[in-house]
Amino acid sequence: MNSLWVVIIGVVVIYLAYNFYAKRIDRDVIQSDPKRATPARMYMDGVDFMPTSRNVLYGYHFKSIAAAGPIVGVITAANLWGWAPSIVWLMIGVSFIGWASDYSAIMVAVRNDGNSLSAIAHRLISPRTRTVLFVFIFFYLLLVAAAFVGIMTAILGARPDVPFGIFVLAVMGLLAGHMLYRMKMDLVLVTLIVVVATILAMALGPVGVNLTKTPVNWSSGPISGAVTAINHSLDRAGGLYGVVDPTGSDPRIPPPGKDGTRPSTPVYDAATGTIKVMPSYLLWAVFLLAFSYLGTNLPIWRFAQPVNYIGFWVTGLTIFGCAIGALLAPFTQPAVAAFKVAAYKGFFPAQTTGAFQPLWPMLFVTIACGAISGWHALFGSVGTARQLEYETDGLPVGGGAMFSENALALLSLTAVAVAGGAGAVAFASGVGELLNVATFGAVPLSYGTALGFGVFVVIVLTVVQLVFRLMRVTLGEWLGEAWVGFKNQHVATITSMIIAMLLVLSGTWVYLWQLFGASNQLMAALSLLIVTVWLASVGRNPAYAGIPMVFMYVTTLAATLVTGYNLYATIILKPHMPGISVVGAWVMIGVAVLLLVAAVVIAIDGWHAWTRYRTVRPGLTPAAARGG
Amino acid sequence: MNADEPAPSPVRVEIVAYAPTAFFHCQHCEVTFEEVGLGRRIREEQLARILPEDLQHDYQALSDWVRALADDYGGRIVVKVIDAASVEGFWKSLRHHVRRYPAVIVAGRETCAGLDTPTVRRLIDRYLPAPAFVSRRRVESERGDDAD
Repeated sequence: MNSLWVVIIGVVVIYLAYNFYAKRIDRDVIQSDPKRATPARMYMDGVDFMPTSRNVLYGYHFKSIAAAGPIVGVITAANLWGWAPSIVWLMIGVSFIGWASDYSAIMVAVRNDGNSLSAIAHRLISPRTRTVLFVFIFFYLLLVAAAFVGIMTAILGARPDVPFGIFVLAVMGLLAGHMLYRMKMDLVLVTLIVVVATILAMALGPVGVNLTKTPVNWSSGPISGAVTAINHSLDRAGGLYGVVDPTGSDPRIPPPGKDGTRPSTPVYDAATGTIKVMPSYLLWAVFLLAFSYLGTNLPIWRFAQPVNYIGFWVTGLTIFGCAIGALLAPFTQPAVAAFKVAAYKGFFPAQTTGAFQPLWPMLFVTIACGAISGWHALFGSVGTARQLEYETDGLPVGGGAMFSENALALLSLTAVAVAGGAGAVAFASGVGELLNVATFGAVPLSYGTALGFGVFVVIVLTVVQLVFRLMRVTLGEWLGEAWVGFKNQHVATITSMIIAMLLVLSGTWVYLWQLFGASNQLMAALSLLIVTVWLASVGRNPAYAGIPMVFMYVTTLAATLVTGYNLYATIILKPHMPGISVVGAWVMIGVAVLLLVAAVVIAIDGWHAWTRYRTVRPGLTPAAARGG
Repeated sequence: MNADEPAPSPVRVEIVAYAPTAFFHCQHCEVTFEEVGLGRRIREEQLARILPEDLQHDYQALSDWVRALADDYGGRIVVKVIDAASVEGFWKSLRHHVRRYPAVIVAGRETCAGLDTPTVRRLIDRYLPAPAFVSRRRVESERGDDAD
């Protein structure tokens, strides 16, 4: 297997699924009609409702749904079960469930006056479904913030060549904001300065370090040496406590040697699988929170906007380079293009920590974005549906953007698979190799790898600072009446960060990610349930949404149970686990129980709605066509 | 004009300016704003802090200018505001040699620095197809048919 095959498989499957399945559903079941008035045309207000060209809307929708999800999920799954199950699920998921969920959510909203899914659920299923939705949203924010901060902190702690690039990104963000909005300098010049400086800072992290020598002597480089010195000065006191990573994808865990076993290091105990939380780990967590604090509290033009602008260039250029490398490698450097990750590691991959990670159901919540994601459906219903100019644009916009995100996930899988290894480390190494191929060796492997780490952190960090911004405003709005202190933006921000930080310090980001995946996929099941009930209510065949809905629902319930079991077996039952880890595990089990209860409530309400609409149709027929 | 004849394409008027449009990096957050009923509150907070005060005033003036232009030309023009600090804004600046904002690009060819109304109108008029009835009246006028 090599990167060319991934391209061929991706192109063929996406072509067949789009042209022979998606178009058929669009034509025969949904019966999209270019002459039927859309909410954008009926209620045009220039703010929410605005007819928009499908080309523009496609880009908007894709930008909205593609964040860190397609990268993090894929690199975690490839490490756990191998590349083959990951690619199979990506292809089957997007072909039969992913596009259907995104597209249908848009079309249901279009046929219901542009109402959001929660409003439609309130009307079609039950008023309490909307409340359940709020519960999902709150935990989604908490879990995604904690999971992302956790993985980024682990990278910064394990790779002394990475923090400098992120520090320079922060400085360049502040500088760009000042130069563009205050000094009103030339945009092209400012862009060149800040983007080039950031890329150089990210790529040159390992300068002066021989990365082929094991163990790597990070002290030998001027940049990584300075970071190493800071880490060493803090870590003299030793580890604070231990955590476990059931997947072995934490960057602090060393890769397996030639005999397949992992060596012990100062922070990793191979015998028990325990990772020591060092003081320097706390330092980098605080560093990331400080970065997010700036993005959350400074005026947007001062920091968040310029950082996103720089981040877009850095990630866009790198991803473009990787795509070129993936295409060229099979012809110019077949050895690089060959997959090094095992194709299949078994249905129950062995876990040194005693965790239980069966392929079903865990693969299907670990890879969400790229195959199927409930949040896409939510966004589609409140955003894209209100801008659709013609009903027939729904498929190329909603379905097309989902297929495009699938391509991004395939690219991430390729990067991990050609590098071998696990997690973010493998992703960054793969980026380094593909960039090396794309530039015909001009970008050395070590610098490309460092850039890969930097890009990964940037993609995640830009999302996290916005999540914290939302948590701040939400806390102020919800709890500001109970205690006026929450109305203070700094108090609200710090409170949000402390809650997320407790989860980061108490567990592992993989458990958080899988819980986040479960809440995400439960949302997908909910959106498909709404589509199924709506199709039943208007007398159409709901099978294309109903069957995936049942699959996603059962899978998510099972995955939540497994995650709860893992938390219990690998942390709570384990002797000598630190109190903070045990408390965190109980908190996460509590979240899992809440998700289960919410899922059961949804199932009961959904079943009642289904039986109701099978006999009595509530008159939710499509809006009458205008002008025939 | 024949009713079956397709309407002429409107002239594209693109305005490159610093605009409060680029914050929405992650629309997952947007979903949440809507779903928990905080959308308006969050938008207000963002709008108040997305641009420095002077640029906010500039943007307000730009909005008024665009509205006046749209009122005058109706469906014969399509106006699009492009945030300068975006990839598209960067590309337009590079391609059309724009170095100061706002800048107006008419029909993807002509560039005008600032909101110079007479110049922009002249450029738009250059690309507008003359309506058939106007042409006929002009022809009649030139012939002297409407002298009575």
